[in-house]
Amino acid sequence: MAGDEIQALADTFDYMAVSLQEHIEGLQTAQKILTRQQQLLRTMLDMTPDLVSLQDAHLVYQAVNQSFLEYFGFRPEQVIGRTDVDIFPPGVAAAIRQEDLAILRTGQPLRKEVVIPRQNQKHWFHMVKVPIIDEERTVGLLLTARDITELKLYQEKLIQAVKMEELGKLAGGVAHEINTPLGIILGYAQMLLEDLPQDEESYEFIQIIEKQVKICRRIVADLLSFSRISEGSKELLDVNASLREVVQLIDHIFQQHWVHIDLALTPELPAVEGDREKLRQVWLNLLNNAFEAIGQGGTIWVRTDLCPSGQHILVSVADTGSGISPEHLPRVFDPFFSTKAPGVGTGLGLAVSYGIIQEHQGNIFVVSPRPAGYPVAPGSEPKGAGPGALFVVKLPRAGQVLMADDCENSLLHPEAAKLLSEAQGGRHGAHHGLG
Amino acid sequence: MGRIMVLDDVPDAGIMIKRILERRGHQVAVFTDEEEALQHARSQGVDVAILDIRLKKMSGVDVLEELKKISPQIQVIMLTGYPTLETARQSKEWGAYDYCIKPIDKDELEEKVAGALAAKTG
Repeated sequence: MAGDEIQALADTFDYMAVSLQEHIEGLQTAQKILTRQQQLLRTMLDMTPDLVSLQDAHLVYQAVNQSFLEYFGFRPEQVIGRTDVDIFPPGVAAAIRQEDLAILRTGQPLRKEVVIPRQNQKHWFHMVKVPIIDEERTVGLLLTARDITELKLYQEKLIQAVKMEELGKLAGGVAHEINTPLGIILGYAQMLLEDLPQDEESYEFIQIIEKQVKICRRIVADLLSFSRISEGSKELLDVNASLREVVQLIDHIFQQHWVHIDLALTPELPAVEGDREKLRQVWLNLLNNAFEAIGQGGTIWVRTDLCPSGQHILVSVADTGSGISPEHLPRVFDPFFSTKAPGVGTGLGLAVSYGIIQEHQGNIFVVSPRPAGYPVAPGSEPKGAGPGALFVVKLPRAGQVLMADDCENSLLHPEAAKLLSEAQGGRHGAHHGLG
Repeated sequence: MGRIMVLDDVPDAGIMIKRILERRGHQVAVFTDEEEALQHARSQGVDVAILDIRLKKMSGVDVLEELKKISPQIQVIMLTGYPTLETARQSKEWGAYDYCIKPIDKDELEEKVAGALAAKTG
């Protein structure tokens, strides 16, 4: 081989080496970009509060984000490479599998609102499942689920408020229309009583008519106060004093049935502007309701609190009674809704209370069963305590420019409130970190 | 015994009140129309007027004011469907003698009419 040829060969090798080097560098750069983008994607997925998961065509988990792991309390290795059957209870897993297979088969995405239970909590999610298509073949399933529990709670509250408003109008209208004929019946019955000798049977019958009309009159008056047509007189009131008065009134009757009232009032609460008689009626209704739910032997806890905002006062009445079933819960404030035997109650007590509290620009809420650990620690509950119920009345303090707060949630949904404050704390932390 | 005027937009309700009060020897005229009632008060004279707060054209309070213009001596009892202290306070402020809550109780009505008549003569 001539020297020239060797030289040319060497040059070619050099050239090849250089271009190979460049090629490798290019690849390394691409690799770095890819890695960085992967990390970015990973970070983004882990930062989103939505639950995100990716499964392959056999529904084996390929990837899940931080929110997914946190919500279910899994570590990555408990999920990745496994299927729903391995990680969820059999019934749940089977249902999810059915749904997922249908999506893979049809290629149709699925959107729905679902309750995904976790321990003893119920969270609402808006869930989207989309098939992943690669070269006209379904290769996997992407799930995102957004927690809409809070939205649902507000929605329920709104629907409830609108419903009560409508019912109130209807009840008020009916009550008003009924009052006139009722008055006419009463008037003539009373005139007949004047005319008839008292020893006649007819006299007795008319007396019964008069008595029954007076019962109707009582019901109509209750309906009117529920519908907020009536306006009472407002004055500055001490909620604690108002509660004490009512408790004093009924305590000895309750004691006879071994029902104990545990009163713990936060001292020096700001005054509320209210109708003395009507608020007493609310406390009486709530206490009576608790008493009837207990029957014999139990505890009623009465608490007052000031919201951290200082704008609202909370009155809570919790009991160890039989509780309210989930299907009855949305209806407890409806007029004439009663689970008591016919004739025992008119079913207006809570409806009237609702109307009165609305009239005071307040709100009334109920949860059942009583939230765990409220108002006493789980261990120190009285023996034989039932699931019970918790009623919370929220009243604005007198004479303040009002701002909205939802501090009642800390009593009604202590777990959710705790999570919320933790989340907010976390956000604040991140903010400080950046600053 | 007095000259009583009843103004209620439900005829049967007014007639029932008339029957109750006639038994006590009062002379009672019943109206469903505001203008006719005021005309009666002007031409015939009235001791006690019983007025529903809710009427067809005017409110009971407007009729009350008109009656007081005709004669400040006319005693007025308002009829209200809303049992509230607010109504009571307002009725008195507007110059009514008293008020009755519907559905009306016979004994209460009789007592208040007697009281109003006594207030007029006294």
